[in-house]
Amino acid sequence: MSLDLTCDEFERGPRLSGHVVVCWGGTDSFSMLDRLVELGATEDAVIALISPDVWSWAPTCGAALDAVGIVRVEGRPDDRATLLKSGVAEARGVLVPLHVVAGDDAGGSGLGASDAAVLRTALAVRSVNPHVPVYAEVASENARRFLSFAGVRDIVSCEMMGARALSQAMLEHGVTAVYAELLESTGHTCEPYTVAVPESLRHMKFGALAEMGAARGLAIVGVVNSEDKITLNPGADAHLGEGDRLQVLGADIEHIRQALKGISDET
Amino acid sequence: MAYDDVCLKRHILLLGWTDKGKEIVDNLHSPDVVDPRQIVIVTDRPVVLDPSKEECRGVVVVPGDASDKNVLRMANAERASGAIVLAESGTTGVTHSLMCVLALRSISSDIYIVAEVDEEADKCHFQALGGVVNEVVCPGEYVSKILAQGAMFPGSGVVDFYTHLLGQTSESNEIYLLEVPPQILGLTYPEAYPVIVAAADQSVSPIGFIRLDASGELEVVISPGAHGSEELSHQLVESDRIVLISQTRPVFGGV
Repeated sequence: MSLDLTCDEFERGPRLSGHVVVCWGGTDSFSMLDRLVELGATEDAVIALISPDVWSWAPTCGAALDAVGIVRVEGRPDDRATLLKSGVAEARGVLVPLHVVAGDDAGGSGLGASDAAVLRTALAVRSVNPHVPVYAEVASENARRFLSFAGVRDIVSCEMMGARALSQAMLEHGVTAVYAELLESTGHTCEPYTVAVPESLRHMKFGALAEMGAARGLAIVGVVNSEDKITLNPGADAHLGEGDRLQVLGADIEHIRQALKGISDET
Repeated sequence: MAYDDVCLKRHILLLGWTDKGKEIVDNLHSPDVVDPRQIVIVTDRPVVLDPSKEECRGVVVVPGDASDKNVLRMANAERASGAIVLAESGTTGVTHSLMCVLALRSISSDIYIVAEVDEEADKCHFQALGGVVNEVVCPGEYVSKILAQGAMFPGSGVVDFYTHLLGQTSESNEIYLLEVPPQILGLTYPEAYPVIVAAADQSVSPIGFIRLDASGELEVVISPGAHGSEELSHQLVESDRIVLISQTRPVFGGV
């Protein structure tokens, strides 16, 4: 999808809906843009990138961004007016990568400047659209509780995740390749999905269902309850409760539903 | 008592020191770890650890430049089992990490080296060294991929899934790669699945296997059969690895 929006159109605010908004425009933002394009975010919508210095780098890579369907919105993402221009009110999701602030000291139990910028952005997004899912990256694990208070559910701490990934690579040689495969977004990949348990399978125990899934190319790895609490590897004897969903690794949601239907027909 | 009895051996080196250091120490000395090793931190930065924490017991700090072979020898690097090279910030961070890796490898040919990079683009420098580095981890790459997947598939639980796998609670599960137990050699993945679950000493959730492809490269197959039936009919051989999720490294009964 190619876009050719003028400054005037930006001033009025492009009419966007069902799109993903990416905030700030640092290195992490560009990395996320790559992933989103690989995952097909620009196939039926655009991606709105909000950055305070959007025009400073536009001459060099602006055309390339336009060519893949990335709309650039100038302004600070923690500013309501800018968020409105980016169409947050009708977005499907907002990504808030870490905005690294020079000289940041995130030590102790407080909130560093970089994490504070993420928090301000999340709060501004919430004030414009309280229902849009916000996906936030924080530098320090300490910032998680502040973001949680702001109503952000999906928070990833680079510090914690990095430490865990490095430790697991040391303790379980080769595990990096498994994560690379799970997180790969092109080619033959499997992603995590949650899917409702068909009525006809609710009587089954987790182990029996997982075993039948394995025969159909599904890795059923956990249960998500009605309060969105995830339990990975709950045990073969675990019962599936009312409102439970399955956490599955599969090629796509349609394949998963078909496989579950196949299990349902067989039982 | 001989020198061999008292010197550091089979320990894990932590080269460099950043905000992730404390978390790594906690993880490597977590009660879940079956065979915990002594940790030796080599850095010229100040290291402050909480002496009251159980995980910090036995941690040794060797002050000095981790790219200096003499400093590494003080840490008995030639007898270490593994090393994590942390990416320190600054413009020379990557270069310094590369120097650490090369110095370490010149001392020990069999030490397992995991290197961290801040930028995905820097992975190529370590990969260009061939087998000098065993694994390269870019945490920022993980984060951006997880969040992008989350935004693209709302309600899919992507972020929760990875937070649990890479999280840090006593109830968290991790990914393990296990040798193929003799009783499932020659079986297909669907045939092996119930045997693995029954033979393990704890609850496990197999998710796939690793095999060598036709060109001799390692191929990670998650949810075998999700992309075709060929993977489902693959008969497991000794060189394969079973990939599964469990709380601690499982042991198979009778193996």
